[in-house]
Amino acid sequence: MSVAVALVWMELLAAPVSAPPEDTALPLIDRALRGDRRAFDEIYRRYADEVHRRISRLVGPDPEREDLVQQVFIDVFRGLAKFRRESAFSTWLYRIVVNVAYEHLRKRQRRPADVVALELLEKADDRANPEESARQRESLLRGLAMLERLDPRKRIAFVLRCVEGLSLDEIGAIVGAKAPAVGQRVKHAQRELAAMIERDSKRERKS
Amino acid sequence: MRRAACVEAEDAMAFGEPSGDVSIHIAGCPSCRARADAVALATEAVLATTGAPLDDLSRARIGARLQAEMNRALVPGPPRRLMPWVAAAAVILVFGAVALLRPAPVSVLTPYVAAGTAARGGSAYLSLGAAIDRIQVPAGGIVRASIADHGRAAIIGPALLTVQRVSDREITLDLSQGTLIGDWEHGSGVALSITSQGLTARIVGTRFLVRAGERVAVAEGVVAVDSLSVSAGQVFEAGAVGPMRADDAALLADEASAIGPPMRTRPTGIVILAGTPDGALVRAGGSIIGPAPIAAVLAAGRAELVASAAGFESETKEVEIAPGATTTLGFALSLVPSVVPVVPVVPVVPPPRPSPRPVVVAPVPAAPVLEPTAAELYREAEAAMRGGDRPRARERLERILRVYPDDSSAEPALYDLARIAYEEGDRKRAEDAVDRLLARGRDPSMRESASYLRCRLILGRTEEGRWLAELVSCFNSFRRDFPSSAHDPEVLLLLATAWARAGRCDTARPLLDEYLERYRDHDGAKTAEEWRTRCGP
Repeated sequence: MSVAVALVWMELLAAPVSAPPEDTALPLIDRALRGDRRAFDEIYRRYADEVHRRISRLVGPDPEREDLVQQVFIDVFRGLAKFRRESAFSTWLYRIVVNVAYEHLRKRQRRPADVVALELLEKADDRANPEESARQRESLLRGLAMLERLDPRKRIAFVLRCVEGLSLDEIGAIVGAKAPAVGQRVKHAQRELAAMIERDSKRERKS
Repeated sequence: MRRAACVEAEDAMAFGEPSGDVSIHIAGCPSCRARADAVALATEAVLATTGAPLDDLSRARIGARLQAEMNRALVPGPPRRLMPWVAAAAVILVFGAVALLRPAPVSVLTPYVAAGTAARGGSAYLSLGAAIDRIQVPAGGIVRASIADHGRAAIIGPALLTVQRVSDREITLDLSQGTLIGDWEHGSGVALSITSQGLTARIVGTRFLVRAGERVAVAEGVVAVDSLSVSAGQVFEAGAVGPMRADDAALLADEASAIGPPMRTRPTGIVILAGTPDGALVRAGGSIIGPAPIAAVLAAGRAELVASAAGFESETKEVEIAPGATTTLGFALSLVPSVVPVVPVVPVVPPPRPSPRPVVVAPVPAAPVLEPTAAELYREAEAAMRGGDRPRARERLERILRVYPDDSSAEPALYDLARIAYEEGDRKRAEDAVDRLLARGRDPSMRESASYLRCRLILGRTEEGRWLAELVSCFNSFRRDFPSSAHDPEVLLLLATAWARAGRCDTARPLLDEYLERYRDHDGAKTAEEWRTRCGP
């Protein structure tokens, strides 16, 4: 099963990226920069779900996600005048999302983790078979715990590459690093995840 | 050899450049398979945490906080470059003008003169005496004056500027003739209004120009003229807002350095104050800032906020407002205790002897059980919902409706009750709560959420005969009432597919086209395309 997942995943990575749609946010940005507050409301309405989804993937089921979404839009609002239109608005927005997530993960590393994986539990509860549900829950919590132990930079690179399916160049543009450096982060993240599984297995065998 | 294949597999997993043999190698190599397992495990965990989209209450909460943040947008930008300038001509004109001035008790205008240039280490601004309440400038003259330490202005003659009204919170000047170029400190806590031949310009900040009776142009910040908002680069003229004229822009740029360095902006923070009862009046430092719930931008530092409402005890909160930070405060005003009934004093009659009666002590009424406030109940309900304890959440929400039917939290309580019932599959109860909420309709911000939930509930009634007609009507109303709702993509797709499923491709087609045009990058685009293909050209 895992091999199949890996193969599908590699297929996804190799798939050609479709041409980006026209940046429909630009007229809104122009209006927002002219002081039209409704335009900013519209930007928030349009991108709130996307920002929430991306933040969720980067930081996990964190109770502070709502605050992080708010922080992203505050940063967007404050920095809108600096958006130079060299990239799509969504890419610029993604950069802000990643910055906010990175700062949060860094702070979270310095204090004890307090991640309540309610969503994971709920997701697992959806399954009809209680044994399967318990197994799934355990597996998801284990995966999450492993991610928590990764350095924030590696975690972000891993999520952007392996979950979001972005190319190394795209990730580099978002996190402000060169593609080979991003590749190394992904590689190290994968190595560390594999090492964690290995250590856990050894511990289980001993006990 | 095996080692090289492992390295290749590792690179393929990280860099995404798999060769044909890599997949075969991963399948047969235990260590590579372990790595693939780890990647799959972490990936699944991340995908599982993506969770549901933002719920409506979270969306509204964030939106409200962003609105508060946007109020800070009027803070001026970085300091402007000071240009060298010459003061001699101005000095002569100012002294000429000062002779025409007379002092008054509401004087806030202090003429000044600048000496020196930016190139020589900056200008010095010399006050020309006490504050005055009227400046008259002859033709060709310019007088520069500070306005109550919160702003500066250049008045270009022939002009007449008089102080109309001065209070702790507001200064009103009248420019009956001439041109005024001003720079007003935003966030000073004092509002500046300038009236001019029927125009009233309320200066929020910061750099602006008023030509008496003609127009108001804004170089930085915002000025409200006759309730229209004029932003940077715009002019208010003949009752409408348009782009600023080149001559006004040039004059503003020329005077920027002559007026003096830009007014500083005091550091501010946001205070969000909410509580019960809704609409309680909030004062900061004795000045009214508005009815709660309210988000206010206040000067950084210690502030005393007082919430008061008729029939309730006032509540005072002291808060340290940090620059740039948002502080949220709650209050729950207690009802003013009603007058305690006076127990009539019964004269003590000496008991007849020899059978003394015991002294009867009037029973003291038991202290009333303190009912939690609506806000407390709602907080408890939220905590219960977060913890998955739906019965407890329902009990708290129903209690809000029972005990505080007119409180502002009653409508969110109804919405939450509807959602809980919806999640539990109790459609009847959910519909009842939504209908009650829509019937009340006191909180417009809840209408969108409730209307959406109403449509979702109809969507679940597939077994009933007229459900399609009702569904279409509900979705159409929703789209008409909330055209820019975040739910619009979903509603549009549901509406289109409902028609398509019912075999009404003629109606579905334009809706699917609209979806594909407006929401091509949304998750539902694939579904819309499928239905579009099925419906044919």
